[in-house]
Amino acid sequence: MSDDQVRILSGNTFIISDGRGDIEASLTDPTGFFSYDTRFLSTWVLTVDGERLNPLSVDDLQYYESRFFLVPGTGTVYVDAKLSVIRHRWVSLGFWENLAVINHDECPVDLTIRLEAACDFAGIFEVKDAIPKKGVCHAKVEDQRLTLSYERETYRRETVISASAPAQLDERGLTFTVHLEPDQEWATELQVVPKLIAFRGRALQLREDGDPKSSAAERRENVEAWLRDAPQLECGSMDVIRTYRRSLVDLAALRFTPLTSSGRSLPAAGLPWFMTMFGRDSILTSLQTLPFTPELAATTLKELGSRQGSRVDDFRDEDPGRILHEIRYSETIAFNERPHSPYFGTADATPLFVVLLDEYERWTGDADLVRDLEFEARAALRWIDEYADLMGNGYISYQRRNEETGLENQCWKDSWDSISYHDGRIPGFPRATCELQGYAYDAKLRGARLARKFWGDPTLADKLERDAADLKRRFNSDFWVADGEYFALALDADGRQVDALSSNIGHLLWSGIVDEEKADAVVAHLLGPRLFSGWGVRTLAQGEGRYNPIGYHVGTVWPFDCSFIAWGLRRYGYRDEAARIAAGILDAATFFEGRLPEAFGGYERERTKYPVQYPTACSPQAWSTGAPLLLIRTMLGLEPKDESLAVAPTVPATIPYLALLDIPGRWGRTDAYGRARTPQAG
Amino acid sequence: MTSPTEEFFDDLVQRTHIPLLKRANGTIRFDLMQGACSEHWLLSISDGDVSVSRDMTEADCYLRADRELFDRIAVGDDYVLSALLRGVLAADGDLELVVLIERLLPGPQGLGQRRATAGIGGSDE
Repeated sequence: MSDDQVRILSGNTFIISDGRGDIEASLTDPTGFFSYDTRFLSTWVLTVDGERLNPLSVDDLQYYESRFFLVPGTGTVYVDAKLSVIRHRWVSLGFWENLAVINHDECPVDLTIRLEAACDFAGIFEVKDAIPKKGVCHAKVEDQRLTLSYERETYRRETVISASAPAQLDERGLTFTVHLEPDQEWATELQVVPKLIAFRGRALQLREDGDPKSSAAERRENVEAWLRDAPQLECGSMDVIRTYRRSLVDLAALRFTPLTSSGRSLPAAGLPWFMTMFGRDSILTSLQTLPFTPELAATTLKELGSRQGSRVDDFRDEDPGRILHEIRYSETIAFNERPHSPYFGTADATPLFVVLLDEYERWTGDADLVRDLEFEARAALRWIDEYADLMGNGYISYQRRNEETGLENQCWKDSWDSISYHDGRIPGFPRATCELQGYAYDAKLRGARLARKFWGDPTLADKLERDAADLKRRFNSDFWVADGEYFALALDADGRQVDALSSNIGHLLWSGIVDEEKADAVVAHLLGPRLFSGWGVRTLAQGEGRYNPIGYHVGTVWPFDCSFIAWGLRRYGYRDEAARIAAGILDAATFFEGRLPEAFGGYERERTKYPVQYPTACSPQAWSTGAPLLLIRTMLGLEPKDESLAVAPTVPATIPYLALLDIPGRWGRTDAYGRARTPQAG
Repeated sequence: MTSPTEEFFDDLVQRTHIPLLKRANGTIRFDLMQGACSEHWLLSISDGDVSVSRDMTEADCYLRADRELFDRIAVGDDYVLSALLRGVLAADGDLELVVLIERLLPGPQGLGQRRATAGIGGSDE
């Protein structure tokens, strides 16, 4: 992905163009105009008198609009600056482009302005996996509109292009013949609308989004209201303030409004490939952002609850009670060539759903939602015992039943080589990764609190607490690698330890499943030289067979991972260690202008001095965006206690002071302050 | 032998309260077409209490498809979202009801299996 790409988006509608605003995509190239996981423009090229344009500058005004300042001519030292071309573009359900041309010459000019347009209607999986199209593309001109369309049996998609100024339209684009006097300006507004043609030729409205052409001004007001509503951060470090603000703006951009949520939003997973509802990503991001934007958690819970699995279906890896992994809307889903309608193959979203529900109530006091989702939460708890214990050993494990298009690794480290033994061998299936057991433990204890306090079911609460205690006892014995003093990454199909040292042990602290007397050893590993890079905790420790500092899940540092590890360290009372990790990740953020990438290299901080971005990382990504927020919570030691908010700050020396004002919760709004710990003598 | 669609509605007739629909209120009408004819099922939900009739009255939500397609959706050979995206099923009105209703469909292993695996503690029945 090149650096000069310009991306703007609104929900799952987005445009990725080059620095001139042009799109020239091949089937496998991830640029274009996308909506509902489908490309609606693969070519969008502007020429003036047959010449391509040259970018002078690009204003990334907001995440939903950009402005390109261009002049004719490319590839020469001198550009003909007698013409200015300005493309101002914004995206909502479709996209709009104000195209303006200004003549700076002393003489009048006659210009031919051309926009070349074409579309391959590739689905997002087709772009990713280079799957050839099975249908047919058409183009037709009618009523001053150019309609590009794609048809496969009853499946039909259209892109309708029109302009406000008179144009000659043909099947490959629009041509404007323009005469400009000196200093005269010509402008037109281009409109590109994607259409999902449904039952009997009607357009399918998948999303209620108010005015499809909501103006840039309305959009701006929406983002400003979002920022006003979030707690204000005051801090001795401008870098941290910038990171905080960047995170809030990116979170606004990552909001996804499903069709059935009455306009409420939940966090999508990331741009460009993951602008959709994901069980794991939406839940973990909601957990990170609870003290700041609790409405994201409420929508996540409701929407995931509404779509909870209800039956055993191998194609979608669905079970009763299971929380979904991913929903998609592209052609391969329509024809059931991919199972994302939704797909359920994730082993962690279900226990995490219960964890989020409990944490949400502790912060907001919204008992109604806990009662509303009682059925779903009970079904999720039951899934852990009835469906997730594939090996019959009392642990959650995973193995896909859809062997063709299902996911092999159903934990957050989902690449093929992420789970390995110390010597580098890869285990078979099923696999019971350790963090899943922590999530299950936490879900049972939190479920017990909900059952006792809100569902009037002390019997269930007692049972869940007994089960949790038993799980903790067995786990601390079965997963403990005694000679290394850490927890194994997983148990394999024979119940043997998959004995690599990994960042997953940090999640165990967050879940509380670690015996107190083992915590010291676990923390020593997390902050020790094999796992801690100086910026954060490596996904896999140096010295492991598959360790690679730029391996996706086998050595890189993931900011989101570190944020939960820091939370876990706080939970066990390791406040300075949590602050160290917070400082490292926030320092790294400054190298990315406040926008943390999905992952960066696991190289020693001392060696590279800057964090090396992982090559194909997706950005902004929701749980990376949420990481600074969770780290701020962690540094301030924010914890709901009955009806008030407890504050127990441990702020790293790099941040002189930290004040978070107007934190929303069951207490209304409140403030929290923290000063940096005094640097130790010497 | 009854069709999966009939089995689905027969089952709903016998259940008066469905906890999964606790949050739902409204009516959903199924217009299922067989050639030139169409059959109508009206499902009324009030805080989880359900009743089924064959009335052709107005509803909060409409679901329209070939009967044969709905049979396949009922047994998990096809899905509401896939059919919607393919343009062979129409859903209008309060779509949250459609999302919830899909969870009541029998699926590949039929209703018996679903009964056996209803929610923990407070049962599905």
